[in-house]
Amino acid sequence: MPRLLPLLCLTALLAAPAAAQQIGTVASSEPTLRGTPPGAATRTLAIGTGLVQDETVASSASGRGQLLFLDQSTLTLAPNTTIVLDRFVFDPATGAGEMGLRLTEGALRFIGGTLSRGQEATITTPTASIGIRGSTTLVLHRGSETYAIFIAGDRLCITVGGTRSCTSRQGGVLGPGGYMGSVSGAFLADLLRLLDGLPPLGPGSGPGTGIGGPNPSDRGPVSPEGEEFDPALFDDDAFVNFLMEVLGGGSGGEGG
Amino acid sequence: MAFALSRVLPTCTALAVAATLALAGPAAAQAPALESQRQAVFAQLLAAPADRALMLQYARLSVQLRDFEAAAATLERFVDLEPRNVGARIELAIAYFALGAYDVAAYHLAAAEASGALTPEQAAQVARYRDETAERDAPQQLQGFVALGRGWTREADLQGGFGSAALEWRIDLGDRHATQWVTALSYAAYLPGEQTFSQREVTRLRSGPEFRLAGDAYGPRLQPYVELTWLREDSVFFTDGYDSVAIGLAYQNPIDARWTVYADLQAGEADPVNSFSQGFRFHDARLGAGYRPSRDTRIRATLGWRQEDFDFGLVETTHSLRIEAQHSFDIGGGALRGALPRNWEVGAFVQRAVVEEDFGFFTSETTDTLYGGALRAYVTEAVFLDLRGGRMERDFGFGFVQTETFYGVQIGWEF
Repeated sequence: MPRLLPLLCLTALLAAPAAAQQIGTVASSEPTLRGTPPGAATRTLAIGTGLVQDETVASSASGRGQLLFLDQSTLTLAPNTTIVLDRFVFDPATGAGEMGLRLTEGALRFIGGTLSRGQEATITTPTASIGIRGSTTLVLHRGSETYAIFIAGDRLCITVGGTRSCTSRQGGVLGPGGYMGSVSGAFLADLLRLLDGLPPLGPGSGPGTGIGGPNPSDRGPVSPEGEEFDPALFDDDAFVNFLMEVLGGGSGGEGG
Repeated sequence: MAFALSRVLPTCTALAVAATLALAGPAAAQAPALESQRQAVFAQLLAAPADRALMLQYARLSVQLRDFEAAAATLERFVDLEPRNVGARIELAIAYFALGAYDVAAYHLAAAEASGALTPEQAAQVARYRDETAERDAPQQLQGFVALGRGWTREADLQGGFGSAALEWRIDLGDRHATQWVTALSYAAYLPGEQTFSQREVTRLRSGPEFRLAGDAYGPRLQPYVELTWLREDSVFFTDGYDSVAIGLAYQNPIDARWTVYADLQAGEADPVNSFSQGFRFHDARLGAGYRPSRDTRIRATLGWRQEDFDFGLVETTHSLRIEAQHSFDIGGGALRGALPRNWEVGAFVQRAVVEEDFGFFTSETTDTLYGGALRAYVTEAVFLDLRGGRMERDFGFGFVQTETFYGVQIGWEF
C-alpha cells in the first residue's frame, strides 16, 4: 500500500482538471493552442477540449483559437496571446453569474453571451480593466498599453489608473487616455486580420441562416438583446389631421 | 363606390387590427419554444463545437429570436472552420450590419468582394450592403420621403389632392456617446378640388441634440428641442393660420426587445397671421408604450393631453387615446412572385379624443372617435403605393353626431 500511495496521488492530480467544472470548450484551434489548468501540466487544446476555471490559455506565434463558453460567449485569440479564465460563474436556469478573464499579452475579440448582458464582463490587463456590457469588443494589449474597441452592444468602459471612461459609440476606441475617437478602417482591418488571419476566400453559398435579404433592411440597428428604437414614434399623422380638417377643428385641429 | 367603401371601412379596420394582433400573437408565443430549442442545440454544440449542421441550426434560431450577436458569434466560428466560404462571410457581414457594427460589416463585405468568387447575385447583394454601410457610417445622414395622393370624403362629398414630405437630418457630434443633432422637417398640404373647405398647409421644423442619457447605445434617449410650426388655411374668404414656437422634450427608451416607452412634452406660443384671429399658448404631452411581438410588428398606445389658452379667455383641453398597429410582411416566392410587389405594410388605428372648451361662462364638450386602416405596397425598394381609409364620428354631446368617411390613395418615394 505505501508503494501505491504516490501513484494514487499522481492519478488524483492528473484527474483534477477533468473533474473541475467545465466552463467552456475549444471551438477552433489552428495550429496549436495550449491550456494550463490550475495545478496541472500544459496540454494541447484541440477542438472540443473542455476548459476549466483558472485555466491559462495561450496561442503560439502562429496559433489562433476560438473558445465557446457555457453562457454562449465566444472569445477569439490572436497569435501570441495569453489569457487566464479566472472568473466564470453561470447559472443556466437564471442566467445569473459573472465572467472575468485576464489578458496578459496579445489581442482578443469578445462576443458577449448571457452573462455580459446582465452585468459587465471584465477583462483585466496588467495596466487596465475593461468592462463590457451587452457588447462585442476587440482588446489589444501590447507593451504596457491596453486598447479596446467597441463593436456592438450597449457600452464599453476602461479603467486606467483609477479613472474610468466609457463609450457607446460603434467603433469607439478606449485607451490609456480614455476615449480616443473612432477607430480607423485601416487599424480595424489590421486587428481583424491579426485575429482571423487573411481571408482566403473562394466560392460558396451562405449557410442560410436567414440573417438578411438581398437588400439591406431600412431598419436601424438591433441590440444584442433585441432592443430597437422606433423611428416613427413622434411622426405626425397627416391622414388623421386631414380627416379632422374635413370636419374642422376638434381633437386633431391644432389652434382651435 | 364611395358608399360601398364607407360601409366596409369599419369592418376593414377591425379586420386590420385583428389581423395585426393575430399575427403578433403567435410570434410572441413562439419565442419561449424557440429559446428552449436553441438551448437544446447549444448543449449539443458544446459537445461538438465544430458540427456545421448544429452551428447553422443555432444561428438560424438566434436570428429568429432577434439575437444577432449570437448569430455573429456562430458565424465567426463557422467562417473560421470554412474560411473559403464566401457566402458564410457575407452572412457574417449582415449579422454585424444588423447589430450596427458597420465598420466590421464593411471589412467583411470588402473581403468578400475582393475574393473575386462572388456570383452575380452575391456581387449585387454585397454592393448594396456596402453602399448602405457607408451611408450609415457617415457623419451626416439624410432620409425622408415625398408622397402625393388624392382623397375623397363621402358625407361631405369632397375630393382633392394631398401631399406630404419629411426630411430628417442627423449630424454626428463626434463625442464618445455618439450624440446626434437631429433636425426634422415635415410638410403636409391638403388641396381641395372645390372651395367648400379650406386648403391647409402645415410645415414643421424640429431641431435639437439627441442624448444617450445612461451612456448606453440602446438605453434612454432624450432630445430637448425647439419646434417651429407654420399653419395656413385658405378659404374662399380669407387666409387664416398661425406661426408657433415651442420648446419640448422627446424621450424614448427601449426597455427590452418587446417594450418601448416614450414621451413628448412641449410648451409654446402661437401668433395668428390675421389681426382678427387670436393667439394662444399651448401645452402638449404625449405618453406612450410600444410593444413589438416580432421585428415586423409594432403596436403603440399613446395617451395625449393638450391645452390651448386663447387670448380672449377660451381654454380648450383635449384628452386622447390612440392605439395603432403596423405589420410588415414579405409575400416571398410562390405563384404571386413577380405579379405583386414583394414588401407590404398593413396598419390600423383607433383613436378617441374628448375636447372641452371652456369660455368662462359656458363650457362644451365634443367626443371624436376615429378609426382607419392602411395598406402599403413597395413597388420597388423606395417607391410605394398606399391605400388608406378612415372614419370619424364627432359627438357634440346634445344628441347630434356628425360623421365623415375618408379614403385616399397616394404614391410616395422614400430616400
